[in-house]
This record gives sequence, C-alpha cells and structure tokens, in this order.
Amino acid sequence: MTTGGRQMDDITIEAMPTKELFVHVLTRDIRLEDAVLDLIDNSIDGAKRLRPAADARFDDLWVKIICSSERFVIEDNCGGINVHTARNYAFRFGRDPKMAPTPNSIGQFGVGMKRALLRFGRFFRIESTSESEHFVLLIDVDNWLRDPEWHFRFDTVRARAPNEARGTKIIVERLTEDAAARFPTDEFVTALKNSVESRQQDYLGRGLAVWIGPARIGARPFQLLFDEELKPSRREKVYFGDSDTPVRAEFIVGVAPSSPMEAGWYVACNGRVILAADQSRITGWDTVTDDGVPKYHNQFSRFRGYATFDCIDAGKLPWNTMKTGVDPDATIYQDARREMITMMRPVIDFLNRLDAEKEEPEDERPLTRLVESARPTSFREATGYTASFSVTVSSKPRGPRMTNILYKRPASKVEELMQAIGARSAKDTGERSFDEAYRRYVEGDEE
Amino acid sequence: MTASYKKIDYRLRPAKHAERLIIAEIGGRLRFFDIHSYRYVGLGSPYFADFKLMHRALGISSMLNIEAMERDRERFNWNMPYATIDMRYGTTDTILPALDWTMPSIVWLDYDDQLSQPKLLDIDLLVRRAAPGSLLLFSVNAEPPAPPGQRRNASGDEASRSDFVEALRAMVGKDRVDPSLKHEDLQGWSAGRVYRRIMTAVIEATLAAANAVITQAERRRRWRQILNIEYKDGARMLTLGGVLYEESQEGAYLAGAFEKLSFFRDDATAYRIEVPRLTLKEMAHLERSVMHSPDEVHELPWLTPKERRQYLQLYRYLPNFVPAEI
Repeated sequence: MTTGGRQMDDITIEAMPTKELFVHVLTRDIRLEDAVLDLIDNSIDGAKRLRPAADARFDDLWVKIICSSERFVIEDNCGGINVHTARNYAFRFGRDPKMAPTPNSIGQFGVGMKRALLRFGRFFRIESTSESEHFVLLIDVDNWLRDPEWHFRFDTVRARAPNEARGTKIIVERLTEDAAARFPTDEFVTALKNSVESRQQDYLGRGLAVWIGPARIGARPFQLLFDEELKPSRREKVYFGDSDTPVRAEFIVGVAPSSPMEAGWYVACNGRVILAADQSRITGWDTVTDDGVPKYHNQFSRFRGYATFDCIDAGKLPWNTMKTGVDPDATIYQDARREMITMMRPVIDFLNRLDAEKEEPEDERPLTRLVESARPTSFREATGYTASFSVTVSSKPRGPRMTNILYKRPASKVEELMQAIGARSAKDTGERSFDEAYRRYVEGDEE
Repeated sequence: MTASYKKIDYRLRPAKHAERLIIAEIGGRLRFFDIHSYRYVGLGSPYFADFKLMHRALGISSMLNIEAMERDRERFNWNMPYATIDMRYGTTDTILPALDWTMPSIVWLDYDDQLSQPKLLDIDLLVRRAAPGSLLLFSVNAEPPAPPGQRRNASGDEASRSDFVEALRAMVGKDRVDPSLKHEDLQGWSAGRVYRRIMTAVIEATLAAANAVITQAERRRRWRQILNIEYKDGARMLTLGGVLYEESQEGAYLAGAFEKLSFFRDDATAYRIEVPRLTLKEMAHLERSVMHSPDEVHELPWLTPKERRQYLQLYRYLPNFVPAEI
C-alpha cells in the first residue's frame, strides 16, 4: 500500500488528515455570521498586539467588511501579519505550540481564519503590510485540493514601503452557494450587525470601529439598575492563582430594564462574548428558575448576569472553538457555573417577590416602585456593587398571602347564580360563593 | 403553606429532642478549632430549642437565625432567647450567599418540607463556601415525593396516587433522578434513602468541581458523613450530617473519633431513632442497667427485648420531663 508516495508496512495505519476534512467537514458546523466574527477576532488580536495594555484605547483602529453575492472583503489597519508568521503559523491548520501566542488573545485554536475563508468561498487573496514587510498570497482551493503537497505560495513578498499603511485585506471570491445567497440579503447583514454589537462590545467600547458596509456598529454597553436600596453584586475569583497564567473570573448579577430578549447570562472570554442572554442549563438557569412549578409570566425578563474570564493564555479559557458557547466540562467552568447559580438565586428570589406584587394594590408595591425609580448604569462604569445582591426595601406583604382560584362553569349557570345572590360579575360571583362556603364549612366548625 | 411551628410544639417531639442532643454531642467532639470560636446558623422556630441547646451544651455564643416568615418578625424577635442572636429575615436563597463564611460554623438547615432544587443549591453553596472544620446538617421531610405545590396526605389522596418518580423529578430536577428508579423504590422509608443518595450526589459533585480548581493538594476539601438519621414523630424525617475540612486537617478529624458514637453512620444505612413508650418509673428502673449490654438486661419482662434495647441505646438523648407550665 502506498500513500503520498510513501511505502507502508502491514501493521501501520494511515492517520494523515485529508484536505477534504478541512474544506468540507470543519466548515460544516459554523454559521456564516460566526465565521465573520472569527475574522474580526483576528483583527482584534492584531489590535491587541499593537496595544497590549488591558485597557488600551483602539480609537483610530478599524475593521471594514463588505459582502455581496460576488465576494467577501474584510480590511483592517490593525498591524498586519508578518511574513514569518504567515509562513509558519497563520496559514497552518491548528496552532503550532512553538508559536509565541498573543497575550489575552481571542483566537487560540489556529482554525478561525482558515475555517472562515473556506466557509465563504474557493478563492482567497490575502494582502498584508506589517511593521517591515508586505506580502500577497493567492489561494485557489480547487487547485490546492488537487495538489498532494500541503503548501501555499506567496505571490509577492517585499519590504514595506515608506509610509505604507499597516493592515490586512482579505478578499474571498467564488463564494460557496449559501454564502452567495445570504451575503447580499438584509437579513444576513442585520443578523451580523447584531452579533458584532453583542459579541464584540468590549472592543467597540474601547473605540474600535467596525464597519459593515456603510454602517458603523455602535457600542451599547450592558446596563444594570442601581439604587441606594438595590445593589447588584460582583464577585471575583482567581483560578490557578499560583501558576504563570492564572485565569481571572468576574461575576456580576443584578436587574435591568425589562427585556425578555436580553434577559439571561452573558459569558465572555478575554472580552469576547461567547454566550448572550442565555437562559439554559449551561448557565444553571433551569436549576434556579425551575422549582417544579410552571411559570406563566415573563417574570425573569429583568435578570442580567455577566461572567467574564480573562487569561494571558487563551487556551485555558472555557470556550468552544467557534466561540459560540462555553466548554461546559472545563474544570473552571464547572466551578464557575456553581458560583453563577449561587449569585443568581437572590436575584431570582427578588424577581419572584416583584412578580407577586402584581397582586397587591398599586400603592402597596414598594419593589415595583424601587425598580422603576432606580437608574440604569453601564456595568463597567458602575461603583457600589455588593458581595451578594441586596435589596433593603422590605416587600412586607401586609395581610395574609393570597392565591388565585380559576375554574370554569357553564355560563348559563353562572348567570343564574349571579342573579340569585345579587352579584355584579362572574368574578364577584366566585368570590361571594367562596365566602359563603367558607362561612358554612370552616367557620361553622368552630361553633 | 402554614409554618410547621404553628402545627407542632417542637418541644414535645421526643425523637427530635434526641436528635438535637445527638447533634450537640457531635459538636462537642469537633477538634478542628476551639468550639467557642464556632458560629451556629439555624432555621429556628419561635421555640429556638436548637439555639438554646447550642449555647447551653457547647457554649457557642455567635448565632444566626434565618427566618423566611417575615410577617411574624415581631413574634420571632420577642421570643429570641438571647439578645445577641443575629436575626436574618428572608429565604435561604438570599441570606446564605450574603453571609460571611470565614468562621467555622455549625449549620443546621432543619427544613420541615420535602427536598427541592433550592435545598440542593443550599447544600452546594455550603459545601463550597463554609469554612473548613464546619459541621453541616440537613434535615428534610422523608415522606414519599409529592409534586411541588401539592401537600402530601398520609392517606392516599390524588397526589399520593400519582407516580412518585414523576413527582421526584419535579422536586429535584430530572437530571438528578436515576432513570432506573421505580415508583415502589419511593414507598415508605425507601424514599428517604433515595433523598439521601441525591443529597450525597450533590455534595460529591460539588466537591469534585471545587477541588478540580484547587492546585494545592492539602487545601482540597473533604466531606465525611457522620449522621444519617431517620425518625418519625409525626411525618418521616431524615437528617444527613457531616464535617467539611481540608486535607491538611485529617488529623483533627480523626481526633474527634466520631466512629465511636453509637449513632455514627457514614453510609446509606440510617440510624433510626425509635422511642419506646415507657412510663417514667420503667425508664428510671432501666437506667440502673445502662452499663450492661442491652441483650443481658432481662428486667421488666412485659417489655419486648426491642423496647429495652431501644431505650438503653437512646436514654441519654431522651427527654425525661412531665408537662409543666412555667
């Protein structure tokens, strides 16, 4: 048996990956929007290499995306890729452990860019100007698939010209069928804008300009309600604190203006949001909100939770390769999820009490008044967090706890009874007949 | 739901009384720290029987009470036996995460209703947050599962005829219920065994997750079950108790010699508190023979050997009072 020209003996098994695995299999699981986000993440990592400080501003840096039925273009001024990196790492499938990683990077598996390009089309033109070099690389995927070798070839390599702007421009052509169909639609562009806004808001907030067509995506920082008597909680935890690459976790929970679509947990790794408005078991939501009693109201639409994980070594963070979710089995996340549950319980308890206030007369709803008068504040700028979510206004329901009774009877019978006892409405009929039964069967006992 | 303290006078329940004294005896054997440095955290009824005992028997003076019935605040404050008890009004969901857990504690979450998701989350929180050296006790109603929101009646009403397994899933979440479990496995005292297994599974999973991110081996946490008690004054109840400590404190755990106590149980076999109904005179007479093995005591021939044995195992923990108003 021969493979790739090499002779194999009888007990050796071929394990070499095929190119088709990368072109047809790895591209299957990722959505087009998420693949675009992956490319923007690469630009952001470039920005981080240019400005490594944790809170560095990116005001003059930009990423521009244009997509049509013919081509996809992404261009940035975030520093460019140097020839050494391009030759040895950037276009290899999988991260080479010898490569010096970008501290706190958001691309870490060495698949993002390649997978995105293959997801979009079959011809790529990559042009990049770094500190001292400029290169152009053309890749025709169909030719590459026919080639037994695993090489790409530069089209141009030269020194950077004086004053030549640094940055990278990637053009994808011969789009895949679904990319060609979806790229020109408003539906796709809107979904992409929403994804960028929620998933990369940390960087947008630091000044990075992301343009999709003619529109710049604005930063819309998360907000929480603050008041002297209503304080969101914040908790920090350091994992592997005695190692060179500790993971710093921060958990924040509180309430916000009511929005069923935005309620839930947000989980970010190195600033990149990987889960947004999550209300699933991944974030422990079901454990806390499902006490076995079915819920009829959207009473949790004010809940907001933010869990952020930061580490110099991106490989230690609990995310999946598509950055669309957490790795729920990661030991850090196993512990963090329990912290999240602990922290959200007082908030859920509060929201249940808030919901119960609907049964009270309008002037006896202190919790409702509290959330309506509290001021929304951007959660990064806020001060005055507590260790555990606290509400100091007492809900103190005066009088006994009330419960509803709901039942149906034939309308004609209800009307007969209404007339017989002189009630004003079906509700009144129900209440009066209950009171009558109570007098007869409960109070009657005590005589 | 009416608070259970309105239905039962806790002082008159003999098995509960015995349980309290058993817990105090364990407290007295804690060797991790000076017992006076411990804090007691409880869910006291207005009788505060556990608080009085923890202070009188162990000398603990730092105490904190969690009470959900905020409406009865005035009554609770008035009945508080020691002015320094820190009274916190609210549910355990809200109060437990807000407490400072840096001091070693004896925590007894003596719930009077059935196991539920929130109770399992309380257990999870304590196992992660309680200071090493703490004694943790969890008591729940051990009657067969009733769907949440429905009261279980002793005689077969609608709720008790419905499938116990479904009810259990609704109580604790379906992922915590072994798929091979059958309705019959939840009848009578068997239900308590299932509850204990679920509680223990939560403790183990929580510890495994917490320890997986602790790099120093001597800081890893350990749970040792000491108590697995069943009793029935009215409804069936179960108490799971144990100590939580770091590996470096193994010596202090061993020094407590908990395994020497007759009620020590570190496995699924429960210690059942059964109080024989004897007259005061019979009790006094039997007590003369307490140093003998119960099998060698043949006095009071009208008592069954089982009654004699039950009394001689438990007499130190039983109430010997006559009703008296003071």
